[in-house]
Amino acid sequence: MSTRGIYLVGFSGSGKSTIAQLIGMRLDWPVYDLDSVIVERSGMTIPVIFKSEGEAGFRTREAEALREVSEAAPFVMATGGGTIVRVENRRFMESKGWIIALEGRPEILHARIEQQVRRAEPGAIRPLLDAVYPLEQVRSLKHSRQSVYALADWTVHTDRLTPEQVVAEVIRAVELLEQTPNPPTVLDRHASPIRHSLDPDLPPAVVVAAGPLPYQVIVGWQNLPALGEQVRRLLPRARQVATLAEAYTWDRLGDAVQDSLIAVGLQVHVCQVASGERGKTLDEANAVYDWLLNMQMRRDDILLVVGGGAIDDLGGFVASTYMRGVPLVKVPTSLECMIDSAIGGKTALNHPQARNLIGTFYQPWLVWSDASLLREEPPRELRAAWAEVVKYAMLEGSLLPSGVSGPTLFEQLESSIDALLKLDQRTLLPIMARCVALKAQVVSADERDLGQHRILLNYGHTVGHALETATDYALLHGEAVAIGMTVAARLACRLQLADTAVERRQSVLLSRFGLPTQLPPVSRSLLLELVQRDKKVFGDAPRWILPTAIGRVLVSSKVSEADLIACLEELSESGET
Amino acid sequence: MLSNSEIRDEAGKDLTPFQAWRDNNGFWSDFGYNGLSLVFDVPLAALQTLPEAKMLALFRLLVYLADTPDDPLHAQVQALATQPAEQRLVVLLDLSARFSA
Repeated sequence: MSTRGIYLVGFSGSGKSTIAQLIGMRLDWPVYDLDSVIVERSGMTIPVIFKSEGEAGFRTREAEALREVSEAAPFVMATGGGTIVRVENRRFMESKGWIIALEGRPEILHARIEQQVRRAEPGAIRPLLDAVYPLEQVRSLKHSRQSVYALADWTVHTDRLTPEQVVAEVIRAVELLEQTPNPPTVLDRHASPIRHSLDPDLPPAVVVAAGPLPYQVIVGWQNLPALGEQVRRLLPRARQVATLAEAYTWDRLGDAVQDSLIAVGLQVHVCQVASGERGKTLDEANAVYDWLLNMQMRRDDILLVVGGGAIDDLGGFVASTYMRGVPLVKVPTSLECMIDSAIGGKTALNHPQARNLIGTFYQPWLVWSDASLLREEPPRELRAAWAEVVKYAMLEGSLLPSGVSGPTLFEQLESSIDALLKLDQRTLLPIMARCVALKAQVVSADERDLGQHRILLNYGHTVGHALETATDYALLHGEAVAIGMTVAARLACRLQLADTAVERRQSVLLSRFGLPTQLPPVSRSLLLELVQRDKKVFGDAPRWILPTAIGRVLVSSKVSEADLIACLEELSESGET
Repeated sequence: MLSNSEIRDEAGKDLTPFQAWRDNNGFWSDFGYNGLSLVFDVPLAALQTLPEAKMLALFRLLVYLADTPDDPLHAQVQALATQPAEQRLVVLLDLSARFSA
């Protein structure tokens, strides 16, 4: 066995201390509980350290203790839940041992904590259970850590395992890791990769912890030939695949997708649907239901959606409603869909009176992106999608409570824009994976758009949606969002929430991507009316997402009409009405 | 042994709930200042926008509540239970100002 250490990381209640003790007994290795080491060395409890030295002081002591007890490998260590958050700790742990995350669904973790409380003396009550909505709080705090825990070398899902089985799984993981001493680093480790204990051979993936089961988002290059193998691994009982695609898309990709699926014994049926927003209707959904019935689609068969955002909306809706839900796999073909709309589970159909009025939340089993397909995306659509990338960059710090280590996404975009515009694989994939990881973080924390998280993704959308409608969709979504972000940044400056440099840097970046930053000639009164009518209206006022710095935003309902009008005037091209 | 609900019932009468929060090593190690969102039931996102000094003051307020039978202050904090979370944070920041370094 290893001469390296084993670091157990995970959320409160994940069983790190218990499992560490059992592994130590099994391997006859020394066992350390990092929190206990800190208390022992300092002679103070952790809250006392917090009170006198602040969290920063505690984290310094934690880093010192980590280094001290990691000296003599092998060992097994139960780390504090926050230890891995510090990037220098993570790098040190990577150099000294294997980082194993113990994962559990919030409900299970909550139940374990409750069990501990029942056993504990009243004075030792676990604080989590005194919260007003403990499960929701556990869920929220857990998800705020998800992106960091996803950086572990291995993840063991403990929900259905006994402590002995968890121990066996950790030891098996370490043995396997020992056989692959140089794990692939195709993607930025900060952004996403995780090797899942159930699927050790997978390429690096982002995991979205939403819906009944977490699912993976793969961002690769010319990876369609491997699609079938992964689909078969996830859905071994499937017999056939019902594929929805637009004619143009299927002409380009059909052979590669079909060959990959047939190679693993799946029958492939294809339904070519109307392209764009025209296809997002109940009539079109009905036609697809008829087709699925005719091909005798069963509940364990697969609905595969190949295409951009519109067909993704239609396919998701059909998958969520046919037989009360069938497994959904997505192969997005546009940049916007790969980094945004394919992830998160929102489905939508249009109603004659409103776009996207009808819909469901339904998470896929797998999202499989082949970024090489972007070379054939129409240039204007590709350009518009960069607006969503810039949006993620403006939100990054607010979406990652643990902070950003190394260059921020915004800085990366600024420094690598030329390579990105050329769709250079080595530059593009880490950026896309980073965006996907951010979306995954948000969706995992706020799947149903009920909390404080998902609304942040609407940055630039309050004015953006209004502009799309006001121009009768002459502006593409991303173009409208680019202008909407510019308006939001100008508002933030006007309200003295942000420095003018924030707006300037954002506008420069948007312009370098070829995106508009000025309002086209539209009726200002119509625009104001549409902003007020925006679906995110909260009480009487729209909820604005406003930047306070590059990578930081806040939510505000306190934007006056006068301020908005002033900003719109400043940003209008000549000819506005 | 008291049940969890019995301990909750005691909340208005003694320092136990605050002590329970304060005394948990693993909790603060896990969450750091983010844990204050749970203690005081305030929005995590709003908490995270605060400067460190204000979060430290909030933490010290918690320690004070756990250590000191200051009835007027306890009553003020108890009264926040019916306030919206954002408003609660505003008042708590006000109450914690005297614990700033």
